[in-house]
Amino acid sequence: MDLLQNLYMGFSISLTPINILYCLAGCFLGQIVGVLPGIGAPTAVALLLPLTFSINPTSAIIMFAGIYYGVAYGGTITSVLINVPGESSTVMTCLDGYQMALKGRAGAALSVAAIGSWIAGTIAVAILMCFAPALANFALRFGPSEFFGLAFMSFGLLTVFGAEEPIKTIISTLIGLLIATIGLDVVSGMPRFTFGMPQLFGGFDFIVMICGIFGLAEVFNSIEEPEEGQLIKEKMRLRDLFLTKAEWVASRWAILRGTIIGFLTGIIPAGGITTASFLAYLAEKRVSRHPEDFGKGAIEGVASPEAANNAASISGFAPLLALGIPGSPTTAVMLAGFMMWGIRPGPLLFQTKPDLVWGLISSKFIGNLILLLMNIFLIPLFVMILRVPYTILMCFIVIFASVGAFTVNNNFFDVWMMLGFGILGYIMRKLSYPIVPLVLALVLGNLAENSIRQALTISGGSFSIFFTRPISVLFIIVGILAYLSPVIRWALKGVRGPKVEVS
Amino acid sequence: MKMNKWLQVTTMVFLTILVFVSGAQAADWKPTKPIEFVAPFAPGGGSDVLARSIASIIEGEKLCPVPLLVANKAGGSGLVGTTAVVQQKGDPHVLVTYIPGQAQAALVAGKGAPTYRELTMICGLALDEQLIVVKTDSRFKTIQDIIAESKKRPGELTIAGTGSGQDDHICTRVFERSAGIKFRYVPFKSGGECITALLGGHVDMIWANPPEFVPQWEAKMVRPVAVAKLTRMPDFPDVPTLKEIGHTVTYFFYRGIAAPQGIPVEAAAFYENMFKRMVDSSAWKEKYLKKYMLSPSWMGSKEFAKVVAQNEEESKETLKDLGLLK
Repeated sequence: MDLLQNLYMGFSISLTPINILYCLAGCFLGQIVGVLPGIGAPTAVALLLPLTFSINPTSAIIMFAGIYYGVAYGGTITSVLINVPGESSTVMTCLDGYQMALKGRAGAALSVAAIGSWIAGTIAVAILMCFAPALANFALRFGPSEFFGLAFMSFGLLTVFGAEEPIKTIISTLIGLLIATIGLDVVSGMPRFTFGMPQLFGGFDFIVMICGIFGLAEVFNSIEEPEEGQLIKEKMRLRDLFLTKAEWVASRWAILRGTIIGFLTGIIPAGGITTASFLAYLAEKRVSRHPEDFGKGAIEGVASPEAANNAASISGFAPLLALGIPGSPTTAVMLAGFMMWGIRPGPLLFQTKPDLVWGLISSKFIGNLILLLMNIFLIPLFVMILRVPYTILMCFIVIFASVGAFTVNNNFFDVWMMLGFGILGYIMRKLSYPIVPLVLALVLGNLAENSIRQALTISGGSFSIFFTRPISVLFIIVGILAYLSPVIRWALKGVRGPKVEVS
Repeated sequence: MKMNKWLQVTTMVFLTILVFVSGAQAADWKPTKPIEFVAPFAPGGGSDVLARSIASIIEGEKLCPVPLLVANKAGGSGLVGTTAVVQQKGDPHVLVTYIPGQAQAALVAGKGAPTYRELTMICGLALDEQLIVVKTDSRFKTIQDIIAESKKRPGELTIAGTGSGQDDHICTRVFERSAGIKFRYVPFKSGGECITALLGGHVDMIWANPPEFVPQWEAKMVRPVAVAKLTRMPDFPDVPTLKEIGHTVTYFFYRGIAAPQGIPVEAAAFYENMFKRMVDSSAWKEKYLKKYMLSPSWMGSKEFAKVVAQNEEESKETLKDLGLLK
């Protein structure tokens, strides 16, 4: 019963008034940081680091963890309300969340996101608590060949398998891959498609691109429809703000599936929160009985990625706590923070600093509860934003997206780039090209490219590396089946087709 | 006539006063607004840690009348942040951290990339160390085992590092040439990704700076087998230098500070003096050098500029050898 003992010790630390206060402060800050597109959790944690030298490291890490998962809650708000993802991990929430808002169900979208995040967070902490070292060791089995397999499979499942317009989907993916190659290439160090502009050496930041493709494109689109008024015209009743029973029934399994996918993706070193939300959304669309509703305001399309991003933000701590390796940019900053406080995080942390580890783990139960309550009570306030006349809201979105793009690297060049991506998003929407494949290519393009080149370097150019390792071969096979699915479907039709005609 | 003389005298007096006043002002240059301190790499990396440590030590020791505000401008092997600083020509309220990788990345990237020639070098602060690290259960007990094995199977052992054309890639090439061996160099994006790949058994060995592997070393999961330095490190007295075994692979991994070109001479002098006082403080030794296992190495403005230029010149040859430079 070591576990219960440890947990008891953890709670005795995290439930002290001062630590509850730090947890609250972290959650609150995370929520705000999440709402602002340009500032992500790594920046916020880095900014706060110097202020924490005088406080107890356990309190500091509890606060930082609060920021880390608070961000996942906060980013949802702008995604749903104004179609500008506050964080890269809430991009997928835009797709159905904003559509729900247009139908007057913004409150429901925000509630399901908060509840889903809470459930996912609590389950994830429980699993993390029991199996952190084992999970971290499993995560180590992911090397370059597995990362490539994962990306290969994701592209296959998304782009070809079940696409309504395969050609447009493929074009959209290729545009995304092309954009992802811009900048200095990690493997050769050479600039690609930078046209001699040093500002492009770093490529485009993901936030800059999505602020344009989602937020600005939405504004451009609505300029054409000079419809006076608000997004929500009728007076809202309180019960409009929360979930209906049918919505809850529809989303509860989505939340669980999202939790599992998110958790697994989060522990993989290069996985990350954004990828987790993508995979959860894609999986949900695949298992759904009504995939055609996705992108038009399906509540599962909000529940699943929201659960996934929170589960991933928690499971991302497994490699940090158990092995001392950073699995994400935020945990990398925390690693630096540990060092500055004079603590070496690493495999020995569970033994040398049990108070810190268990204080942190138990604080996550508390933090998630705080965030749930905070979000549920604030929903009516957030939804009020939609009553602002759209002509005014539009200006607000432009300002918001511009500030977001600027603060990513404190560079005005990025604001112009965002404008460019806004135009790209607008054109794509006009010509009805799907946007999700483009965004997925932006997220996974670099991972896919770097990992295949790393894997082939390791194997000395032999492709056998992808087929001799169990995890990567599984991904590759699923991927190949997905790519071949139009052919398979066509073949099946050819066999069955005549029979149907006869009957 | 009298009037004229009087005018001459007054003008002379006036000018003399003016010269004195401006001279006094110049010698007394002080920053008048917060300093933007650019770390051209992502939060959590070595340059970020340096910038944040400096900002906190300078504030703690009250060495500067205004705060240093750290701004991460990451991307493109440090070139994005360096470019942003280069473009603020003449602005004495901007500083940037500078490491050899920035100079080398600019060489490889070529046209348009910001070289050290477009910056004012302020000072060098410390030297970072590069070690070859293997997993504890690796079949290679010593660096000689690695050399012997790669002589038997040339070009089959893998070594991971943080990016082509960067310090560890150059170290690898120099080592290969000296020992007459060949590795497969696998570039990753960060030190964190390298140690992860090593622990997972995906590569045979990695290049790493001490903070990147010490936690895992303390837990006996990895061990260093060699250091690219002239003398052994006090923290790792049992780890041989590559020079000891007959291969002069030393790498001068400086960590320094630069400012935009065209800032007043007095401003450069102010910063040089400020950093000199910082490296003499005990806070610097305790909170930075000791904690992150760096060697002290103060270089004044002129010396640092010379070192940076020399380092760039030396790396050119290896980069050409690697086919990254024409």
